[in-house]
Amino acid sequence: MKVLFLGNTAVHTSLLAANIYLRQLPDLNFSQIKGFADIEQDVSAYPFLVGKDQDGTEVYTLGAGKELAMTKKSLEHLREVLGCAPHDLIVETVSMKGDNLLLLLNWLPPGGRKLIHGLIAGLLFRPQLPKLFRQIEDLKLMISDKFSAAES
Amino acid sequence: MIIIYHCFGGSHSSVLAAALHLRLIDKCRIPTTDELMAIPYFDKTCDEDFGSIRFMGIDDSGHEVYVLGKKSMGGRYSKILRGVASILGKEDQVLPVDCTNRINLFMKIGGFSSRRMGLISPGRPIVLKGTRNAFLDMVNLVETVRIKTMKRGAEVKIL
Repeated sequence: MKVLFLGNTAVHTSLLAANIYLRQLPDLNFSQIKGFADIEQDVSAYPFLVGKDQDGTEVYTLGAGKELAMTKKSLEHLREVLGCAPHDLIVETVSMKGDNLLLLLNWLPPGGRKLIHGLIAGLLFRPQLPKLFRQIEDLKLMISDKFSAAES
Repeated sequence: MIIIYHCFGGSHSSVLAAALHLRLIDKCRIPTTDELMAIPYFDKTCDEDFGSIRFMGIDDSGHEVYVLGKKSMGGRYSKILRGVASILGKEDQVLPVDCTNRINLFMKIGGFSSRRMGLISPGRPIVLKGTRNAFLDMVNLVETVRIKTMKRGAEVKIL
């Protein structure tokens, strides 16, 4: 199974969500998260593998700008067209207030951009983390209910 | 293989490209209004269709041909589709083709008026004129894709 967190970028909210899913968010210190606010990683537009959980589920992030719902729809259609089952790829959109501001910060020159991204993202996102934690817990519940029932 | 032609609305250039690919219209002459309007989905989509990968047919090499409207996501959408196909282990089976670089101002204005604003009577003639003007560019794009996919098919056979 693969879980893909779809955010404005692959290196902000979606990366936080992936780390929460993998239970490896280090003391709310975003700068310790590998690749956080590293916008260069988002340029490729390819899914970014964050890690695997104990069940072997691969967790990815992907940046889709403002069109999260539309991109989720396309990826779910693509999964179908390619003949894959729904549990082969689960697409979850994640967003937090301030995501759009971070998109604007991409226009900053590369030197220091990562630092500014990290600082602003930290200030904006920390108060919103409990909501993201709840969303991830709900997703895990949905996955275990829906797909373990399907397997049995 | 799965070929996905995509453009802003998934209603004009991508649909024309798919129709050319599937030989639903003759590539050797500019199509008439009736011929263009007879193409499935041509100038008939709505907002709910954004993001939907819609089946158009199977070409003579056995490849499935689809169309998709991706708003202003540009060339990034091809990379996204290929990337997600690759994590599913099927990168070689998907060929996304961006049609937005072949459209002209008439198609943009006419398409926006007809599909986004719902002004069909002024928008449709403009988009039809633009489509005819862009026709040879679209033929060129589609022929390139057909050659590419024929080569891939040949490689698979050799292997």
